[in-house]
Amino acid sequence: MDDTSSCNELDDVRTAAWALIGAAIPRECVQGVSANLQILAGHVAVVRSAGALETTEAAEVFRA
Amino acid sequence: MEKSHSLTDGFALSARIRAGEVSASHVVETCLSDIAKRNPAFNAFTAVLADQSRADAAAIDARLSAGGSVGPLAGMPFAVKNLFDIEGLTTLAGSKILAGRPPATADGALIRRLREAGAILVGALNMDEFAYGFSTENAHYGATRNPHDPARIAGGSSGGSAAAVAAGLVPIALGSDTNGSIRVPAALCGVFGLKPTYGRLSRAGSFPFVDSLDHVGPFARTVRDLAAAYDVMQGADAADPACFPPDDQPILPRLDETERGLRIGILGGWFRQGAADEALAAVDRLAAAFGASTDVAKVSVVELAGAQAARSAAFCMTAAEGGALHRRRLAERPLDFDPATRDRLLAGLMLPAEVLVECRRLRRRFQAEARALFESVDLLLSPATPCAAPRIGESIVNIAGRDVPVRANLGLYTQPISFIGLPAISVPVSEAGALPLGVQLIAPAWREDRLLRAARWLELTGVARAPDAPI
Repeated sequence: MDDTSSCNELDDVRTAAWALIGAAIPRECVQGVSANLQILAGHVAVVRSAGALETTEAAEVFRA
Repeated sequence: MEKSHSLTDGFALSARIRAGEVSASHVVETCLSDIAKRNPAFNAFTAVLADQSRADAAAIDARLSAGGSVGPLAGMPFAVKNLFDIEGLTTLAGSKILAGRPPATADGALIRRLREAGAILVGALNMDEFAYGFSTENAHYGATRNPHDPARIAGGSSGGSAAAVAAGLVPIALGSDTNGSIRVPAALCGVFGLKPTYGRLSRAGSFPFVDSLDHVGPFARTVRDLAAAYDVMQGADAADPACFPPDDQPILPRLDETERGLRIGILGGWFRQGAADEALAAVDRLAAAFGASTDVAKVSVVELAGAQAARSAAFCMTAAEGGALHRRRLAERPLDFDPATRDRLLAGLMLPAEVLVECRRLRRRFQAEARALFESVDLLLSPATPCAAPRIGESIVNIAGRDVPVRANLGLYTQPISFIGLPAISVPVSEAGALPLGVQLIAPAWREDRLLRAARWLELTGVARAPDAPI
């Protein structure tokens, strides 16, 4: 990845954070947040590969 | 001059106080002087309650002199992770951000119950900021050092609690465990640590982290002390909506009873991957001891196939729920956080809701898998951590020939278990001259009695023991 795409990616993180958190992420945090998003993405992939939500299971939640 | 005494066996100490062999005041003075002399070497305490503990000790001595009754833990010093409310002290939860808040107006529920039983609170203990970590390398209050090797971490997030008990400064300490924060430091510091079933002990008056995963529990150097503390802390509490135990389960009177016909399961698969040889050897030593017992019906290798996904789901839920809890602080004072905590919480805030739905569904499925496994076994064994204590400042550690990140890997085997709220205890197993390791015993929900009896049996047979710390 070249420097430009890296900068764009970090700006994307800041923009997303602005929308979701209600505040800008300080520039000094962006690198760390980005790294942690990568780690979370790995765990999300494991969770998703374990199976999708099935209608019957959703129904069980409401019955419970 | 009163006889000297050890702060490593609180139960025996309390019996001596009740028998008039030593005064509670003398015990507390020794404890305070020990903390003043030895704590700087490993930085376990963040506050010491000298005046209050002296007053409490004097009150116990006065009651005993007058022939009055005192509680079962009379005069036993204890300390708590600094996320528990202590009346008159600001609850820090390892943070700088909370330091400006007013002092707590009442003790947390478990502190209250221990003090009602006669135990004497001597101080508050260091931790990872907001309990988000496994190392207690706190950016604001310094790293807590392992009493078995001060160049190494104590583990976390309840590192101060484990270190204070391992060093013999207090016989009992309290901690919290969301993903392994009692079991990991207990293992690395070589003490016993109990994470009860989710909802067994009240969390009222403790600073939360991830409500759906937070547990609280005790550390001790002996199983008897662990059981004594656990007994007096039990009981439903309307102030903690999750605290809904089916019954109270006093274990101390039955601690030495043997449960016959136990079926022991050694967790394979996920729980044997990524561990150092010595961590697996510690599990095998315990399994061999159980196998040689005539009370044990069988020892077999079993699997929890959903463990890896459960661990990942716990990871995601922790980041998301923790992030949600701190959202306002993250928006208003991001630079006042420990950077390692802040960046993970901010990332967690960005997780899509769909992921959390998946995680919750996975939890129900994994819970059902564990319940089915407990039809054929009574007790499960796994390493508590994949390795012994890494060095302070080390971010990568080599385990079984692979370089892996320290922070992410210390909870490999504890996270799937707390994810479904099962009770677990870390028992210390160590070779002479080697760093301590812990083995995690896991029981079905609400069966802390089985865990404590098994740990006691291992202690009595000499297989599990809290080693003396050199500093």
